[in-house]
Amino acid sequence: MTARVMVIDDSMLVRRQVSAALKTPGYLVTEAVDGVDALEKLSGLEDMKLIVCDVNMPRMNGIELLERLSAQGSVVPVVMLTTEGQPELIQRARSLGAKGWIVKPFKPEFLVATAAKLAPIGV
Amino acid sequence: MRVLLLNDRRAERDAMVRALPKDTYRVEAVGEEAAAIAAIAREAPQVVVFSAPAKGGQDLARRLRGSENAVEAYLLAIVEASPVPKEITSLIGAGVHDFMRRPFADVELLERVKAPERLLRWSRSVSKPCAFDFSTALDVASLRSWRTLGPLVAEDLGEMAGRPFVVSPGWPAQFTTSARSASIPMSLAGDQLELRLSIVADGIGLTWVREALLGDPAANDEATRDALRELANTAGGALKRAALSESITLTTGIPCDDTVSRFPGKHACWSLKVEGGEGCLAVVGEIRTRSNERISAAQLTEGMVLAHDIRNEGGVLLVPAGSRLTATSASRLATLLGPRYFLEVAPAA
Repeated sequence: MTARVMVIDDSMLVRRQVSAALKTPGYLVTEAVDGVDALEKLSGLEDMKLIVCDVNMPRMNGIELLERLSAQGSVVPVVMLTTEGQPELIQRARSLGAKGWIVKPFKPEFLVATAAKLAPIGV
Repeated sequence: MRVLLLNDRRAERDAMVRALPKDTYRVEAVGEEAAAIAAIAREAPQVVVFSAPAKGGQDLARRLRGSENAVEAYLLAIVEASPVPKEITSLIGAGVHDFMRRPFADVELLERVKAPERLLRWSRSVSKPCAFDFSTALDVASLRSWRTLGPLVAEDLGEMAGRPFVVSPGWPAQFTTSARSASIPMSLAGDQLELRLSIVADGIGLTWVREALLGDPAANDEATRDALRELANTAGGALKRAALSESITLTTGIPCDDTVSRFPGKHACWSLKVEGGEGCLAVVGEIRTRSNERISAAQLTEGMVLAHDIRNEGGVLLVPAGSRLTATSASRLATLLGPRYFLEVAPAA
């Protein structure tokens, strides 16, 4: 059994690190480079169980993506993974439905535990 | 914060008083210069907003600043819609910090008066408080948050790489000239200062990046550049968190490739050496002054930073000052505000 997760970050290094962390327990990972790319890929993937998303990205940032997903009525849980730590920004993400906020650099085991809680494999 | 308003146009003066929230500002409004001088002598204001006559505005500014109680006040001049360039130059030469053109909206006055609060927070974070005296360029090394940055970045990078770093101030001694760097632009909301933070690695440092971060000694050039950009992003995050603890909010842009020769201004440096190895990185901070631009909303593009809040006609906050625009938000604001709406922005880095 597995679950599909999307990792959105403009950094190849971060996408690689997050993907490696999530593939270990068995998640299927789809990568996107920014909010625009994510929306395009999400439209063809209806079985998405979790989104791990950066905040500062070109074209469409993570907060703008949250706004779009919220407007679309998406129920896929979103966890923000970012260097940002402004309380106002965290509150904004929360009000738009984000389920978690992890500050980079991240501990892989913490990310996996968060994923397991929001999108358990095999359920 | 005590604000003194000097304006001989009563209706405009009354509107200005109403625009400044009473729970935040202690406003005293007067219509004549003599009353303003007396008010300054009675209690020092932090901000003086005054209507500058087309002729003699600079003399009025000098007289207002002449009082001992107003030496450190922030001066904001109100000028007519189309002042001649010489008028603005003269006002700045006389010590005016900012100006706004008639007609102006309540929100513009409010944002202009907020600017010195942000600058005060910034100036309080340097080791030698300078109030509103910007005659000397700010030095990044004097920022308190810079002085704690080296160990913070070393901790973050050590966590990423799984090996600790030894940190020391200054440029790494063994660096070769063929170093490569990535930078992240950072700015203070509404202010015309840009702080550029760079990560620099020489050949040995790049080998360490490939082996320790990418897990591939033969990683290609694009992957290596991407890793350097992410290191700059990580360092930017550490600086933002350090600054936030001093109530300073910095916004960041998108990390980009850079060249080592691009440190023309005064800069400061931290050296990070891999413990027990030869790999070494440098963290370089540099403050640059730039000019904000007043543009039509139709000209907004990705990377610009809003110098003031954007509110709708009902006063509801749409986008806060300091927001760095993406292509999506620039396009949305351009449509929402229309080409006749003018606003002040910091240009894209």
